[in-house]
Amino acid sequence: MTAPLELPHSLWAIDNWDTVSEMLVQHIWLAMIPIGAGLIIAIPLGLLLCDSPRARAVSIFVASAIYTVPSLALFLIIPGIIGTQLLSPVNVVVALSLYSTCLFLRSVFQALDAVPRAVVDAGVAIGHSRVQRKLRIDMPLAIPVLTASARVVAVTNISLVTVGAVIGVGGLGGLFTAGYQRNFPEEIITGIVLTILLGLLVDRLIALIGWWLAPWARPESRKRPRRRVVAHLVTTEA
Amino acid sequence: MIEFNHVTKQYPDGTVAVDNLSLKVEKGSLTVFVGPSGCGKTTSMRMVNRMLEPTLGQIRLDGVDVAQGSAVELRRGIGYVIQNVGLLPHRTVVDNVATVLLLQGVHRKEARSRALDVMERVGLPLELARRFPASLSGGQEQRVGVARALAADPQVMLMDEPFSAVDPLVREELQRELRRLQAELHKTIIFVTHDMDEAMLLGDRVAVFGGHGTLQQYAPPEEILARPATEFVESLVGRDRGYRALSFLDAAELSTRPAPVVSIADSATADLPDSGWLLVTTQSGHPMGWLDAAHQRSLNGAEPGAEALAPLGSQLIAGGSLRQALDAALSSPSGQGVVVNSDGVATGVIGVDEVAARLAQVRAAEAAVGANR
Amino acid sequence: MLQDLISFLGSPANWSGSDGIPLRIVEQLWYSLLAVAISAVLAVPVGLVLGHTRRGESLVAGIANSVRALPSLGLMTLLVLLLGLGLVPPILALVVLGIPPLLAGSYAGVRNVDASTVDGARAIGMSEFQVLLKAEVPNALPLIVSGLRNASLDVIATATIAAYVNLGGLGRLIFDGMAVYDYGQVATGAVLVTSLALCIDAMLAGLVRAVQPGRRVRGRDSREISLLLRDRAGDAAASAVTSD
Repeated sequence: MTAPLELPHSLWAIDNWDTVSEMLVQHIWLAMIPIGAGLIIAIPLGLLLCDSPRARAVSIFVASAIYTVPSLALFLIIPGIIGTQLLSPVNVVVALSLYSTCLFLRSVFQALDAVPRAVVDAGVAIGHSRVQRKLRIDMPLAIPVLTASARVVAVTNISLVTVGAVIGVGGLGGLFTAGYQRNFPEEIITGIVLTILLGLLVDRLIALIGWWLAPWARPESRKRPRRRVVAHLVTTEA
Repeated sequence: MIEFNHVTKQYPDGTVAVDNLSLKVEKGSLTVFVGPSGCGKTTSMRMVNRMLEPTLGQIRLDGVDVAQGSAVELRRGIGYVIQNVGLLPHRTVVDNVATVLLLQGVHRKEARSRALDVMERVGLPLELARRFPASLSGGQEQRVGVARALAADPQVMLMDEPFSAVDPLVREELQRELRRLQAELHKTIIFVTHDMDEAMLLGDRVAVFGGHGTLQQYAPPEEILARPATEFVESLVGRDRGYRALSFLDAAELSTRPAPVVSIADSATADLPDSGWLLVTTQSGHPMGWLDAAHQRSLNGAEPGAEALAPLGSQLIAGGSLRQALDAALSSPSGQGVVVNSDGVATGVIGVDEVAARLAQVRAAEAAVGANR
Repeated sequence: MLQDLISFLGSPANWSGSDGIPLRIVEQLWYSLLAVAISAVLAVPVGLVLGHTRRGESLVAGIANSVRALPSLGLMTLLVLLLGLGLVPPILALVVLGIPPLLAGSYAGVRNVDASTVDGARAIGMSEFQVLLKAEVPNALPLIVSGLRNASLDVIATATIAAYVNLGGLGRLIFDGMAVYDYGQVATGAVLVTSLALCIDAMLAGLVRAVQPGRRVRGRDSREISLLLRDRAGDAAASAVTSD
């Protein structure tokens, strides 16, 4: 390899852009489909269950338990349950969809709890039906909370996809296994950098979508809103 | 004694919270710092135990500059009660009260025993000893705060709006309790409040703070009501200050009239006096309510319960002030305020006329004193 | 799946020796414990001090967020290539993963203690260290333990991948099974890791509840207070008798 002081004549990633871009595209699919699936499942489920404290408690418990299952284990248990091939990309998508659903479900409950009581009362008083209330009042007001958790879910998914590389479907994670086997650190570093960049990019993108969808929640100044105390990073549990 | 000598507190952003404050709090007296929010009253108090350090000037405690020595030691010798109480949520009530003693190195058993003594002294039931702060009512919690401050028997106490977060009834009770304790213990107390009534009720002297941390007046409450030093103080004591001043005039000299009492058993058949109202009492003489012709007719000869009578209104308890006397007269449906002794037995009635007459006497006497000077 | 699983678990040969299931579980626990312990020693004091001084919130949030984006497999393989095979590189990777939750937990725990509790503690004459130790930490424990719980789960999950870089642990079953297309062995590894994670999670969830402040008086305290109260009641009764 290169001598210590010699600058690399070119970047490995650029020389091998065809391979890398193929991995990148796969990575994006593997990480993004679960976000859509998670939202599509969690929102109706959350609206359905939120009025019964019992159903809520049970679903939160189940969601926490699923979230506790290590990703590699889940990738490998799923084919045993749904009968897919052991090395199929479907396993990764299903597993990440499960995680995403669990995280979103909790945020749907939180978001609905955060809707001010007076707003709901006023909505009912001017004649919204139960369904109308949920669709026209509760859901729009929940957008900022959901956006925040979609950012967390996206970044987590993008990082978790790479674990799939050890079973052959890991998007950019393929750079880690290949680089490890060929004893080639630059390939691994390329993978790490691209994964983190992708995470940051998608994080900003979702923040932007949230900003666009919820104009009332925009901060008055141009400055980014100050993050709340980091407690939300700690409590993963009901 | 606590002395402020030309104390100024300026924050890094330039705001002056306290501006050249000089005053003395006499040993064993209760001084109230009162004023609107942001006037520097709390800042001034917090400099005494060095929760804040003054920018300029000096604070002396019994002649010694508080800036000498360690702030931690200083604080252990000064009782401190804050608005939100600030108990330790993970410790039992008795251990919260014992905290300062434990910090001073008192053995645990001894500390807890002394904590229980203090709990009794401030009127906390001992059953609460092993409870946690979260399970207490607001009033109980505040008493625990006072007990914690008293536990190490400090000579000086600082109280920062201690009663402002509890409901009015409990607040009155806590205020009475504090007066009782202070009459017994004679601590040197600085008490911060934004409530003028509370200041007038509790303070031996009152320091009124205005905007930007300036001291407007420092005087006994009677004087602040009678002669507000600045327009700001006048606006604070407000329109009711004539009425408030009555709080400082004793009702003992008031001439009372015999009460038109009738025992409950005879009330249905008794003749009404010229005023048209009878004061109905229990067999033992405790007043129950007022009776007039309309009420008596509705009884149809039967013995009334308290609900069949017109309400008593407030009562003047022996030893009360002219303000209470006037309030009793004004709030009674008969126009006659009920006077009771310390056992609650009716001893007479007073009207607005008697209060006015007494007030005229007081004024005349004051004028005579003024003329002789 | 179930049949493969049962036949693998049912074979006595898989339960003994240097690649037996019990040893794999012990290895997995050992890696995880080691990594979490090192993370805790590094992260908790820093979190407590930052929380006490109420500074560095954006630093803590930034670390927590950026490590979420960091792919653990990449970190682990890179460290092995740079530092060589052996225990140290994978453990180092696990420590990096364990730090953010513990840091965030201890920071948020202290930071979220009621400001008047801290003010009160300081005002009655606790030194800064006493404020931290006697007022803040006891009330921060639930969040600190939650941080420990999150760190443990991340670390146990990722410790499985350590087998990919030639370490032991339950990941061995997975990778060895995949090499010979033995789904029974793969599924056993996956199910055991899952069970282990759920057990540890349940235990730590119990610990979070147990350290909630102000829920139960400790036995010794309760006895001592009862004794004092009884003495007092006795004295009162005695003095009532004599005064009559």
